[in-house]
Order: sequence, then C-alpha cells, then structure tokens
Amino acid sequence: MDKKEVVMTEEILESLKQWTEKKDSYDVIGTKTTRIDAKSKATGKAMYVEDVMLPGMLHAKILRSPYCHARIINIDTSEAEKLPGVKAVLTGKDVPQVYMAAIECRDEPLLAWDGKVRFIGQEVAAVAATEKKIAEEALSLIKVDYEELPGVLNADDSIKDGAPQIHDGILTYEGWPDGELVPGKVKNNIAYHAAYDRGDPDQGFSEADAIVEQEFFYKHVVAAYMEPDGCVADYHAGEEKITLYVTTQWPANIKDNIMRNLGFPQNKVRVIQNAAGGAFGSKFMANQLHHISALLSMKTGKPVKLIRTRTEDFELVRSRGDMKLWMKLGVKKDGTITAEQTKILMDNGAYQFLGRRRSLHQLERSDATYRFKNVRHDIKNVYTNKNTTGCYRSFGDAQMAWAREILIDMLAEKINMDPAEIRLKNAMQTGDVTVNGWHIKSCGLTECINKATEAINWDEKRKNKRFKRGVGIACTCHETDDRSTEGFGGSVSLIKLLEDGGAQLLAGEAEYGNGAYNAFAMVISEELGIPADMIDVVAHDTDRVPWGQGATGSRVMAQGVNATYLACQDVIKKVINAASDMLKVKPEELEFKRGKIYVISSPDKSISLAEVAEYAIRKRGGSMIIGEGVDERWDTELILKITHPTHYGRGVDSTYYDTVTVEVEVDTETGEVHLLNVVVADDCGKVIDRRQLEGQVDGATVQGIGAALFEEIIWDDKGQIANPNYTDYKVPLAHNVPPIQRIFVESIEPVFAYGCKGGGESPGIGSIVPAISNAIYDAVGVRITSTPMSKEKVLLALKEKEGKRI
Amino acid sequence: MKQKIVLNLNGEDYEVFVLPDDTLLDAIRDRAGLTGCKHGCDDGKCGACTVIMDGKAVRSCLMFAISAQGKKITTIEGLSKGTESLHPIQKAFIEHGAIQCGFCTPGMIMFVKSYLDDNPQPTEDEIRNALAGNICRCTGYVKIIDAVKAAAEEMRQ
Amino acid sequence: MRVLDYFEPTSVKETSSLLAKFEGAKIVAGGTDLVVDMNKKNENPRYIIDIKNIPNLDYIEYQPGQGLKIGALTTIAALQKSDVIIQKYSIIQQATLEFANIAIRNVATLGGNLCAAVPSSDMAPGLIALGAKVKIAGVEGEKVIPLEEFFVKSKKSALQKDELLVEIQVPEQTENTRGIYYKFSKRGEGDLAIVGVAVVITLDSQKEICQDIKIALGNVAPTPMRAHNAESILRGNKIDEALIDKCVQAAADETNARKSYRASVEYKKDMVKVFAKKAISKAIA
Repeated sequence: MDKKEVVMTEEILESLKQWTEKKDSYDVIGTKTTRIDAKSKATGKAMYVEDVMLPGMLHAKILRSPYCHARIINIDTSEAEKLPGVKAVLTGKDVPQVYMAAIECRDEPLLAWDGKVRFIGQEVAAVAATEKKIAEEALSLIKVDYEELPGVLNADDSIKDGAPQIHDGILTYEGWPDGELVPGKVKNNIAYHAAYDRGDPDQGFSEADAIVEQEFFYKHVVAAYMEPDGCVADYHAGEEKITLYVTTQWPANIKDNIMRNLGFPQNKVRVIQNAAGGAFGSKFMANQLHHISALLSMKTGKPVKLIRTRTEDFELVRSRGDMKLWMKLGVKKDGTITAEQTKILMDNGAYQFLGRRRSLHQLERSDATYRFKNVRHDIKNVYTNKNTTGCYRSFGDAQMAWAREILIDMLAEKINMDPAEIRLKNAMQTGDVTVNGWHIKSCGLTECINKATEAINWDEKRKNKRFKRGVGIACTCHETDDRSTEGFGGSVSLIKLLEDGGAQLLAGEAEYGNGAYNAFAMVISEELGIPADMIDVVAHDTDRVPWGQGATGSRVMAQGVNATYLACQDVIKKVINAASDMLKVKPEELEFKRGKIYVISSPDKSISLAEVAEYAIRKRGGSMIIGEGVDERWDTELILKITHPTHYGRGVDSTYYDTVTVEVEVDTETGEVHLLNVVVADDCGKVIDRRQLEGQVDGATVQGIGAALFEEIIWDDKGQIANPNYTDYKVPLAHNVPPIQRIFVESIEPVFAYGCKGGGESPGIGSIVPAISNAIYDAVGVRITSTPMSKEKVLLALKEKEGKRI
Repeated sequence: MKQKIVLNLNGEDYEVFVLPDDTLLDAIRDRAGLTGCKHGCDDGKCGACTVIMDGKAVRSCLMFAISAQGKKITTIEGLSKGTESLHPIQKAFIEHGAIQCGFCTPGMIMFVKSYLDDNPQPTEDEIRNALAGNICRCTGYVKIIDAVKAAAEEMRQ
Repeated sequence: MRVLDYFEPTSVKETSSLLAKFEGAKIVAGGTDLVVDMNKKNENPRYIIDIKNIPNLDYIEYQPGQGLKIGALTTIAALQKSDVIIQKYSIIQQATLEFANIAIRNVATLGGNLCAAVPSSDMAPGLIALGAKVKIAGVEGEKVIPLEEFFVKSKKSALQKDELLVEIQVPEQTENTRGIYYKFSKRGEGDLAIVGVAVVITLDSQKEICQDIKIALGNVAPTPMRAHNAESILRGNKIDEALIDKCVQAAADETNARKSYRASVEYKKDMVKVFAKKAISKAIA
C-alpha cells in the first residue's frame, strides 16, 4: 500500500472547485420538479409487463419442484399436452444446455436440464395455453418422478463434513488478468471463500485498550416490490426476431443472455421496458422466466405472457439472504479503533448468482465507513437448499452495518465514550484512502453525524432519559459506481434535438421506478434550457437506446446524469456550429445560455434552439443535431473480480454516506418498540432531483424499519417458505411510519457532473436497523443482535435480563 | 365454459366473456382491456386492484366477475378520460411526489377517492389508518399522505 | 380441477337444495375468504353458490328487551357504522375497527367471517363474550345454537353440507355492562392477530362487584374460546388488582395455542395476560 497515495490530485481539486462554485447557481438542478412519468402512472396508462396485450397471446405457467433437493427421474407431459387450450409444454430436455446469468460462475442450468432440483420452487417444466387457468390445470397433469435427496437448510449445517453436496461440479472463474470459466468442484458446499489481512491486525489488537466481540445474525428479507416479476416474449416468425417486454434493472443483460443462450444474432433480439413496478436490486439480471417465455414463444409462434403470482415471486425473488457475522473490534482509550476482525457465513441458497462478488463487496464497502487501518476478514459464501439469494438495496452492506454499528456502540460503552463521539473520531474523511485502496474523493460523514445528532437532540436525550426511552445512532457507507466489468463501465446518453426545440433522450440506463429518467430530463432542462414538457425520455428499447450497465451499486443517477450532462455539452457544441453557419459568424463569437444562442458582441441578438434545430435539418444538410455523452471512469480497477490477486486498489469511483439517529420508546409489557423520531442525514453529493430523493429516503427508511422490526422469510423444516404472501411477510404499512426528518449533506463529488453521487439508500439498507437496536439498548438495557427485533424477541430479552438480576 | 356478462365500467357497458371463477380484476383487465388496476398479490392484501363499486372501495381481485353485474364500477380510467383534466387526487399525487414506480398508484388513488368522498375532513392519523389497507414499497407513504391531505383540502373547496 | 358452474340463488331454500345436490359446492358472499383460499389451493370448489342476491339477509335490528338480530349478509362496514351497535354493543364495533381494512370491510360479511371459522376471527370473540347465538338453515329447517358451539375446529364450522348461516342473535345486555375488545398483532390495526381478547363484564350498581363476566379469546386455540376458569375467579367477587391478575393468569393457562412461527405459545400466553388485564381494567373504569 502506497501510503503517499494522493487522492485529491490537481485534476480532482480543480473539478471540486468548479462544481462547488456552481452548486447554488442552478435553475433546475436541486429543485423539486414534477416527475415526467407521474401522469402516466396517475391515470393508469403506464404500461407494465402484465399490461402488454398482444393478439393471440398465450399465458404460461411454470411447474416447480416440491422438494428442496431431488433428482428428476422422469417427466411425463403427455396428459398435459392433450388438454384443450394447451399449445406448448417444455421440460429440461427441450431446452439448450445453457446456464443462467451470474457473476464469475455458471452453476444454474436452464429449466433443470441437468436433471436436478436444489430448492423448493425451482422451475421444472412450463406450459403455454390460451387461458391462465388452463395453463394451471395443465401443470397438475404433468407427472414428475423425483428421487428425493437429503437436503440442508442452513449454512452452519451445509459446511459440515458429511452434509449433502448440493453441486457436483460447476463452471468457475479462473485466471488473472484474463479469466475464463472452467469446470470446478465444490467442497463442503462452499461456493466461495475469501480471507485476507490488511495492515497488521494482530498488532492492532495488542495496542487496544479495550476489545469487544459479538456474533450477529441478519435474517433473510426480500424486496417485495409491488410488481411481481414477469415477461412477455414475442417471437416473430417472419423476422426471426424475438421481442421481450420486461421489468428489470438491466434490460441489456436480458438481451445479451437471450442472444447468447438461445442463439440469436444482435439484431434479432429486442428488449423493451415501458414502466416497471420497483426492483430494489432484486430484478437484476436475465433469469429463468425470460428464457422460458422466449422458448415457449419460439415454439408456438405466438406471444407468451409469463407473470409470477405474488406467492411465486416471494419464493423466487433473489434478495438479501441469511447471514451470520462474528465481528471483533479493538479501540484505544481515546476512541481510535485499532483493529477489526470478522468471520462471516453467508447463506447463498441453491445457486451462486451474485454471491462471490457480494462477499468481497460488503467487506470493502463496510471498511470505507471508518478509518480502519488493520483488518482481518474471513468470509464464506455457502450453498443451501433454499431459493438463491441476490441483492436487495445493498450488496451485503446492510448486514455488515447491522454487526458493525452495534459493535461500535459496545466498544464505546467499554471505554465510556459517547456513541456519536466514537464515530466522529473514526469517520472517513475526504481525501482518505481506505484500507482496501479506495479513494474517497467526497465524504460528508462527519457532517452527517453532527447534523443527525443535533436534529434529534442527542446530548439532551442521552442525559435526561425518560424511562424506557432511548436514542441510537448508526452510519453506513454505500458505493457509487464500481468497476464491475473489464470493459466499459460507464453510461451513454444520446440526445436528439427536435425541430421545435424539444429533445428526445435515449438513455442507456433503465427506469424501473427509481426516477432516473426525471433526473436526466432535469439535466437537459438545466443545460439546454428546454422545459420538461418538451422533453421525451424514450422507454428503454434495446433497438433504440445505447447498451447500458444496469442499475447496480447506485450508479444510475451519477453515471446517467454524467452521460446526459456530457451529451448536452455535445449538443451545445453542435448547436453553436450550426448557429455559426446560420448567422454567418465564427463559433467563438457565440454563446449558449438558457436555451438561446447569443452573439457575444451584441447580446440582444439571439436565436432559439428551435430555429437552430430546424435549420440543421431543413437547410444544412438534412441532419438532425444529435448529442452523444459517454461517461466513463478510467481510473478505477476491477479489484473485486474473484481472481484478482489482492482485491486491493481503486475499486469504486465514489462512496456515499449517511447517519441515522432514532428515538424509541419500548413497551416493556409487550416488547413493542415505538419509533418516536427518525432523523436521516444523507450525504448524497449535490442533490439533483430533490423531490424524488426525499421520496427515496422515505421509502428506504421505511424498508429499513420493516427489516428492523417486522420482516423475515421463514422456512419450514422441509425448506418450504412458510410466509410467501403479504399477510405473513410483514412489510410496513402506513400507520407504522414515524416522523422522518431528512437532512441532505451535499459533499461535492468531483468526478460526476454537478458533484452528484448515489443517495437515498443507506438509511434503509444499513443504518436504521442497527440504530434501532442501539436505541433499544439505550432505553432498556438489552442488546438485540439478531433481526428482526420483533416484539416477542424484545420481550424475551427483557425477561432474560430481569431473570439475571435474581 | 365461458358465459357472457355485462359490466358497467366508468359509465359504459362492456360485454365480456368470463369463466365462472374469473375475478372482477381479470375481467376488467383481460376481458375489458382496462389495465389500470393491477395484480399485486394473491390474498387481497396489497390494494393495487382497488376499484370503486356502487360508491365503495372494493378489492376486485377478491370478487367474482359474475357477481359484479348490475353494479356501477369506477376504475382509475374513469377519473379522467382522454384530454379531460385530472381529478384533484390525481393532481395531488403528481404534484406531491407520491408516485415512484406507480404500481400501487391506481389502487391507492381509487381507495383515496372513495375514502375522501365518505370522509371529507380526515385528520392525519385517520388518513394513516385508512391507508393501512394499501401497500406501497417505494414511498414509505410519506408523500402519499401529503397528497391525500392536499387533495382533501382541494375537494372541500 | 376447474369450477364448473356459478349459481346465484334467490332464497335460502334454493341455496340449501343446491348445497345438498352438488358435490364440491362452496358458498360465497363477500369473497374475501374464498378467493384467497382458492388462490392458495386450500379450496377447490367445483360449484360456486353466490348468496348475495338472497333478499332479507342484510339487516341490523334491535328490539328493546329482545336484543339484536344481524342478518348473515350484513357487511362489516355496515356494522361499523351502525348507531345501535355503537351505542349498545360497542364491543362489536371495536372488533370491526380491527378487521382487515376498509375495502375488505365493504364487502366482507359477518356470516362469511364466522363460517370461515378461523381461530383468529376478529368478530368471534366479542360476539361470544356477548352470549351470541347463530341461526342455521338447512333442507330440514332452522335451528339456533350458541356461537361458541358453532366453531368445531380450525377452519371448520358446525354447518352440515346443506346448511348455511342466516342470522346472528345477540341478547339484550344489562345496564352496567361494558365490553372491550383488544387485538394484538405485529403491525397494528388490520394485521392478523397474535391474540384477540374480548371481555364483557357486568358490575353491580356500586361498580365494585363483578356480577357477570365473559372472556373470549381469539387465536390461542383451534377455535375462538371462552376462558371459563378465568371468568369464575372474578364472577360474583369484589374486583381488585390482585384478583384481576389471578384471573388473567388463569385465562393464559386455559389457552391451547399451537406452536407456530407467527408467535410462540409462551408469548401468546403473556399477551393474553397483558391484554385481558387491559380489557378488564378499561371495562370497569
């Protein structure tokens, strides 16, 4: 590690200066606008996947495994095929022997072509029929002979010698810097194991005046977005082209996978997303249902609609899995944390999907929160016979925050230091290099801590405590834009300048409810002076828009805004050129301001964008002005690739932070935790779309409250999810929401336009959950170290505490 | 065997063919082509399917289509058609940022309409408790409640 | 197996005949239970019998000295808004405020809720504590049985194949009687109950002695249940805190909750104690 590594280079400082000077000068950026797609949604006209109606459309249903671990001996579909209305039946022997998308691993065959099922609910056969109810009836006519195998349902049991082996062999990634997928074996169901030191943790612990250690458990929670996942696939026999209507964070990935797996050339796969009903990380890549609906459509020559029921969605969604975290921290009397050690067991479910990358991500993100210098990590990512996990508004940051933020409180107590003070003492600062080599070019964590504690009246509430009331604090770090592929990791926006001076944006990013398109439109309004009602952001259509990376690591806002900003600059340049032609003056003599082109020497003389746009098309050579903006970061490295030798280096471009403080009152009769006040201080960089960001902070906070108090996926002893519905999976309702105060700390991020970065996520994904645990301890002296902090769990902890006194 | 029924949706009669156990939600969406109301769940808990029937908010996913004959049903499409101006509740949702992914929105708006028609001056607590029957995963309900308060005020005028 | 036919009878007699005639026939009123059960594949009817068109089954009638008669097709929303229920049988209205949500209440019927016979029914405990009876009609005629006997086991009522519930009868309550219903759940109003507690207590004119008390509990046994032992501790005695504590402990001991992932048996017992005490204390205040 180069200790003299300079983060704030001249170039970075120049950029920081530029964006800081401008930060209060914008007309549109940072204001509250009306979302451009709001009217579509308010009138019921927005088109989601299940709203796609095509002539002759069939409905598909999937038969799923009733066993958590079994071999498929035989599938007899003859009776199902005879049912009137059934047009196609598919099983594993009808599909190409390809694997589903995953990061650096291939272990999930399409439609169980390898003859094995590994979790209850895994897809085994599919039917397309003229009616949903006929398709369902057909499922009951399919006879599957299974040979049941012993299964294992938690990570602790799964890694023991003698446990049932879930995978006999997989394709795994090897080689650095060039890598490839090669056959590999799995031992003890461990899909990935990473262990590394940074600095000198042994020395760090020996220097410590106090050490605490604790085991924590974070229970499986799911995104439970309002729109179940699904797809309409439409194979056009004449064009030999397949179109898929999807709801996803990454339409381009679905196109890539369908192309590669089903053997289509580039120009014969089209993926379209109109409106989508939320994803939160859990609709990330191409999956079984995209391939299955595509194959059914190819077989029948008709459009096929395959939408999960809510129950199916609960059972198949890839969200935030069970995790056991043991953590140890050492601290000096003055509050400096000297060392960190972790041992982590991730329950990944039946297939890898994102597990390997998540393992490394979560450690490095967590270690970008505070100035840890000496760390030792050991993380195991383990297969179990349950549904595959993925990500839900974090890549393990939520679970790391749960352990870390409670442990820091325990550490503070040991040295008699205030929990806010110990965090201030260790907070990451702008210009730091993290223990993993990440460059922190903007960090408002200190300000977040100060503002969040001030807003909740921290000092007073800690001192003059009302009985059974307490306050708690927690902080989280989330990334913006990581280098997650070898090649292009940025964003592309194309802007067409229309003849009436309006604009059409073709963005490589997808809009799945996150409000990205509104932010991009705001950039166009700001830079080109075009009002919102003259801006059209086209629905994501891979035939029309550039390739995009997909929504991951909070990159969409920052990178998409950056790309759109750059596209606007390109438009301005081209507009000036065309105007120079029109006005017969040199380009240097012109200036573009707020949608008009001025001759600098005679500023009362101006022409409008509309005039220039029309000129360019009608008079100048018939060519519409099209601006291209490419956001690319060239100084990040793919350190999180599993074959990277050290995983040390500049892995992300930016990090964003938050602090949550919360005041609770505990009902000691029932264990109910009343949330009295929540303060969220969000360091999101320069706020772009203020109203949307407020809404995102609210939503994330409430999701966090759900994970903290109510939500958990429960399995029975056979591996069946016991609560796959909104009755028993308890997402917060309108009356569960406390007053939420939002504070935006806008530390300017030099590498993105306006100084923006990600925002509106950490409070929900990380901080509020441990903040509540810390507040409960402040209120009634019990520490809850496993989620959710249900009423029953809190009451039990209170009773145990009372018992101990006797 | 499908049977022909007539559903009165937004003041118009729609002749559709339904199976005996088709739900009203399926009939409105798949048979009558009004796709505003949504399938959000399997147990009537999320409210995305809410429509107004004879002046009362109902879960169209829990009702058989056949039993909806002879009733006046209003869906989100009935609040404003074509180039008509928006209902105050729609305007309030848009202006207050109460819409993110929008999937819960039609059901939410229809519920709010029937609620405010019955309760023109609700307190914030009353609004929260009433809204507890509709799930939103994106907004945390905060701006939805702001919108309902604003809409109530405008509708009183 | 798909649904073959959908009937809309216009009389109780016609309904009983249809029930007797067809195998796999299910009655639907509001639909808020049946459709969910069909989605979960817990119910797979071949015939649906929609009774909403039967006239004269939707009423709330009160006669002084006689008590309350509620038609089986009366919606929960109607009960919530009924003046006579709010004034004279407020425990019923308290239960409606905990029932699901407004949209469900608009169509869910009292008869439907009782016939679903789920142990966590919000309407059952309060009605049991009021001493309610139900009138059942079948091919052979009508009969009236106490509501407590209507619940046989979880999700099974006492109805025979050809029978339907037509009326709920609640006796006149005496002057110094008050009823309180508490539902305790994970998220609050509208959520599935962890426990439900209904207490109907009659005090003497001095308001010191418990002349009569009925305690009915929800979701702590296969059916809604009476806490007879608990009642006998208070009945006929002077009320003080120590006696209330003894009473609620007895109530907790009488429960027969099943082990469930929703809440442990121990916790349910604790909550019965907490909320029975709250209910009794509020009723006598």
